[in-house]
Amino acid sequence: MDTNTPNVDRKPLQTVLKRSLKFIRFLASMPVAVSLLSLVALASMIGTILVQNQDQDFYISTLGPTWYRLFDSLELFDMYSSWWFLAIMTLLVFSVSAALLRHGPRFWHLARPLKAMRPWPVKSDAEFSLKFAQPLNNNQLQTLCRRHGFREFMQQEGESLLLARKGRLGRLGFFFVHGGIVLICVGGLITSQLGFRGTMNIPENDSDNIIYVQEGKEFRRLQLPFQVRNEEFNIDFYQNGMPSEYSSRLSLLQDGQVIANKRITVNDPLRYKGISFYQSSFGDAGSTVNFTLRDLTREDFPLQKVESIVGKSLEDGVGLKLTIKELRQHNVINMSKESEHPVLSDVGPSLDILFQSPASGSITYRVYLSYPNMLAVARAGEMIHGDLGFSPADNRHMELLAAFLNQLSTLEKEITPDSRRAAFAEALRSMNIPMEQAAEYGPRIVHAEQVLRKYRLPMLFSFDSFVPKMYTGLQVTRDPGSPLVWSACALLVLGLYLLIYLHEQRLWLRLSHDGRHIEVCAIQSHHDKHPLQYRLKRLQQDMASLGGVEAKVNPR
Amino acid sequence: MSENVLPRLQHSLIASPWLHWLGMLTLTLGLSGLAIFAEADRLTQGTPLIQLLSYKLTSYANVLLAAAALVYVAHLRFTAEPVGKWATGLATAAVVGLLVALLTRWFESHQVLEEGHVPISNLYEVTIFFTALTTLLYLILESLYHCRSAGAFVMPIVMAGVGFELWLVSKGQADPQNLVPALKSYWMHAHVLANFIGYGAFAVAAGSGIMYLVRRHAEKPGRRDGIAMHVLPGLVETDALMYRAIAIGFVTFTIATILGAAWAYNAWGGYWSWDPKETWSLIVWLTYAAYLHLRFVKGWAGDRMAWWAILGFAITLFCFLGVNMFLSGLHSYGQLS
Ligand code: HEM
Repeated sequence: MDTNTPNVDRKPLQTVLKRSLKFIRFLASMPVAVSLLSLVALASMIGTILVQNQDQDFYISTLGPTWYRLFDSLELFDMYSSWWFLAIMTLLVFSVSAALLRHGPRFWHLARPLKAMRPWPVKSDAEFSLKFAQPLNNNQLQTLCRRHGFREFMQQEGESLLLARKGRLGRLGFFFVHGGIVLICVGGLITSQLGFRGTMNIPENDSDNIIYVQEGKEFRRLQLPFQVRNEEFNIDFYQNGMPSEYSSRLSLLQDGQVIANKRITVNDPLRYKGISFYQSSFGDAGSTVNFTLRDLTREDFPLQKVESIVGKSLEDGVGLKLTIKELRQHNVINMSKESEHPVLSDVGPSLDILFQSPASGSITYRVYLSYPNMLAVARAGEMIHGDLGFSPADNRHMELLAAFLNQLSTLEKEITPDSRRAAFAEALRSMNIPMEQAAEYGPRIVHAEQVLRKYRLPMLFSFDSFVPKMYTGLQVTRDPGSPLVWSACALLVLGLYLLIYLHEQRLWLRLSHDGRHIEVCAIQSHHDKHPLQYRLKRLQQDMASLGGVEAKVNPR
Repeated sequence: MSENVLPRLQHSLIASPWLHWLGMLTLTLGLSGLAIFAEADRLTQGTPLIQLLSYKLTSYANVLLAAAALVYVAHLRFTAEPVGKWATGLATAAVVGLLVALLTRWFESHQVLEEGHVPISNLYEVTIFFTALTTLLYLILESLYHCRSAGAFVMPIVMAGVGFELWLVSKGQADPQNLVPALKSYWMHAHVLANFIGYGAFAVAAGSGIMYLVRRHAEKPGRRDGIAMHVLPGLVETDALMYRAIAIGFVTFTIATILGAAWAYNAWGGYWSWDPKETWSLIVWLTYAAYLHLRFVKGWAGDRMAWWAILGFAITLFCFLGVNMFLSGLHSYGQLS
């Protein structure tokens, strides 16, 4: 370059070029690479220790407001998409790319076939020398080398120096590994920019074409160009009641025509023109439930049959409110006494009803279809289980219980066993039940009275029947980057194999003019020199079998 | 590289060990056939664990493992070849026993459960798998590189696995269990298999790392000529063994992580979701990637790399167990209850 050129424009350009070359070299340097690898590792630990993407309330209550504000400003609650984490990842990708740029030409050159003779190396990884009684020739040497996997030869004119090489393609490993990493990240970027990942909840026998895509705390609506119809949602169960498979029969409809259909399961999605539908969740889409309620606040415990829909609330206008919270078709509980070996069993469908009134506060009831006697209620904390002894829908028992309680309440003074017995007899009489049956009803009524006294419940329920209506929860994705990602993964694995196990090995063989003395030396690309030394020993043995004896290697 | 390893290396490669491994495979399959024959028609749904043949076989194999560990340690003191042969023999028998037990358990799961499955789906099963694969990988490396004294360093890691397995049994975590729907995937099985080859290889590398440090300590100037100098392989060989184990581990672990991503992609539609298990396997991967770079490019070797291999295995262990015990995520199937 001529430093006297008056052209002032070239200088800054050159400094820029020089600087960026320097920068690339810096980015591709080992300290930077290793620091970045460690930094990514350390940074990604944070997100596994601090639970991600929870409610604000959760974080404030566990961390306190000061830490919350600090962590929030660092975007630690969604750190894998925070600017700083993405910046580190970007830097890593740049660093790998810089390594490709910086070392690529060298490796490419090495991976090409031999073009010219290379001189005897200054420093070799292994060497030996043999003396022969009979002269050898170059052809014999080449045949021998071929048998040891060396396919590439280069011979110097005039002199009997032979260069043999194998495993040159191992050099491509560098490109495949680092290129694979860059391409995986590019694939991820393509997906995040051009793809989407949303959810869709479709009730049975219904169809929809709107997908909800979460973006931060907001949801965006996306419209599909066709309708997705949920023909049927099904859960298969093991005998102990644990689910064994979730499946949905889906049809895609365009202008009323079925364009695709499939029964999807958890590990088997429906794919159509780049859009995939995964079975991801399910829920109640408004099942119909029938139940009986008993009002215990009134004297005669009146009964009422109710039909409602899951999710609905019923109000009586004076402050009482019933909410049909949840229908569960299966309840797996541990029937074993010892905690070591759980014995799971399904006790069948249950219904959760939330009772709210000014007088009694809120109470959650859980009633079981197959176990109407079972009483399960929760006021604030955990659910307490009890056994009433009979169903709240059982008129005879309930009325007798009501009569008994009324009789008890008429007693003024302290209740004695005698007065209880008298009250019970009076209750039986009021219901025209002969005294002979007292023993049959007595224990159960007395038990129920104690249970009610303990729980102080304003109402009792019994679960009579239901007609389920479920929705299937689908994960819907478009992932245009995935073919690239999978190819890049294959490339990465192939590259690793080449890098680690395919070693470029070069062999120099120098035959003396009379053909009776040969010197061999070898070098290998790889840090792990064991294979080369072993191979050279074998070559030496093979060569010696042609009639050679070991000779001293001339130091060079 | 020192001269004296070469004849040994050569010997082992010429007298090809394939016959040996083929024999081991045949034995495993044959014994499994027998065990399954013995188990057929004997089991009903819900048969308790202690009545399963696979459970007994695992216990016997664990006894063999413990014996092998002891003999490997004894071999450090009494370097006679027969002692070493016994150590290798016991470890080989233990691996066969564990593999037979796992194959039997596979069969049994079809009888005891409504739907059988490959026995690598709960913590107990994968721990057995880990002990079997680590020992097997070690034996392969031993036969290739004649590094028998490394056994005294690898087998204690395997025994720690056995201890953990017994603890799981005492916690009632060892019964065959039905698979939850998400685990019913061929990808998952391939993923777990590859993962445990990786874990096993990293364990062998950590064992070699410890061996390296012990020998290194013995070589310090001014120390007396202790037994470590006589029985442990040279620093260069140990260093090479460590590298090779990590190379095997790194390749299989990479494959395992990709298979895991393929599984997630088929089950949930996203190959990567930064769930704690995934993130920790990335951390493991990066740790060993850094190891390879330092070694290849910076030419690091010796002490620093030995510590790196040990630290790497600690991180691997956290990925294998710690995540399930301390963190939560998608991989909750391994969770302790
Ligand atoms: C931070 C970014 C990275 C940079 C700057 C980088 C750079 C390099 C460089 C310069 C080499 C040396 C090649 C040679 O001279 O022999 C190399 C080798 C290697 N890299 Fe990377 N690398 C990076 C990330 C990775 C990652 C994430 C992996 C994970 C698999 C990886 C795997 C390898 C392997 C296995 C080798 C062995 C090369 C050999 O056998 O010589 N690299 N890398």
